Amino acid sequence: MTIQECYRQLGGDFAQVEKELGSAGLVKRFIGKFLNDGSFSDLCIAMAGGDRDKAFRAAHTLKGVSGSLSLTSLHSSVSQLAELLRAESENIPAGADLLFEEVKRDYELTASVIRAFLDSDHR
Amino acid sequence: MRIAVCDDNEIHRDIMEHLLNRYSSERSISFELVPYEYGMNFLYDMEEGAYFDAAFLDIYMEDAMGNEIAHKLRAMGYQGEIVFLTASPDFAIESYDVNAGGYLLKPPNYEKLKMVMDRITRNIDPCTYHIRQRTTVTKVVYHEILYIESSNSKCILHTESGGAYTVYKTLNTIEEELDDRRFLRCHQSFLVNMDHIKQVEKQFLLSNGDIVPIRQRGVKLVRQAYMDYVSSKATVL
Repeated sequence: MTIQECYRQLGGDFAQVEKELGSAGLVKRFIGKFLNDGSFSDLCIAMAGGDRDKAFRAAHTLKGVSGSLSLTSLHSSVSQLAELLRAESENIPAGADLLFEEVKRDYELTASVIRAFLDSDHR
Repeated sequence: MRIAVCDDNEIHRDIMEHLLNRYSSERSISFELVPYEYGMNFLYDMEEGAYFDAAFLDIYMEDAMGNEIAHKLRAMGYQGEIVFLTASPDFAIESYDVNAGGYLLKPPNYEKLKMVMDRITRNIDPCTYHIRQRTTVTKVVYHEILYIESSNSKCILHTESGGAYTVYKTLNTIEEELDDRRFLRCHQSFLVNMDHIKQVEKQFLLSNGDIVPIRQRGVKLVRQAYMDYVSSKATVL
């Protein structure tokens, strides 16, 4: 799998991220780091625990990271979730669970494609 | 220049480091970059007397909010630049309270960073060349100088922004005064800033489209000097 193919499968914009970071080598290095990024798991924990503030911060961070790496599909769904979670309130607002399911699907797809790419690259 | 980058996310810190290294190389300005995962650690270092010219602060950090850190910095008497990093422009108004030098919206890219850095390095007084004209002194930052050409007994200094300043000195004198390795005497009448060279063939093509000639005798030496300069600047990935 080439990195371009990897980005195509996960619904990302390789041309944009290559332009921002300057080289395919750097893009590869950063998407490797993405797999170790903790913001998605922080989001899952916060959503499970009903902590709106922590969930917002995690979603906000994940929005930033996915945007920086032009992981467009994931960036789109997590941005919507972050906006919904932004309003100050005790509890997680209605509708967030549904959006969260979408984020989970997009994240799982993105992560599995990246893993497959990195595996194929090492062989 | 000493720059602090505070962001609780490792990928964001690494991207900022990468972009700042690229800026450093392109502008021939050297930085010492200190990354912070926790805003509070940055404050502790400042309390201990650490010095920074600029601080890039993420707004939503795990242990503190970037705008709160900024208020505390100013209360401590911090005079350096503050730039907020964020994925959303929530605190645009707050940035005026702390006299922030700018706002970098995530995802950060090189063009945005360059605009912010060009503005703040102007305030931090990097290498500047002073041109005295009658009663005024014009300061031109080194990285804005494209090239200088001599004509009769005077020289014309060309800048990135389209300026052309007359300097009543010989090119030899100006070269000595600048005393900076990025300037190459590529021709009897031309001194070029190698950071602005886009292409080299029989002449130098600059980023703004201007052409700077290379002396006929010793063409290879001039080209080699340019190549050596470029490879000495190459960032290791």
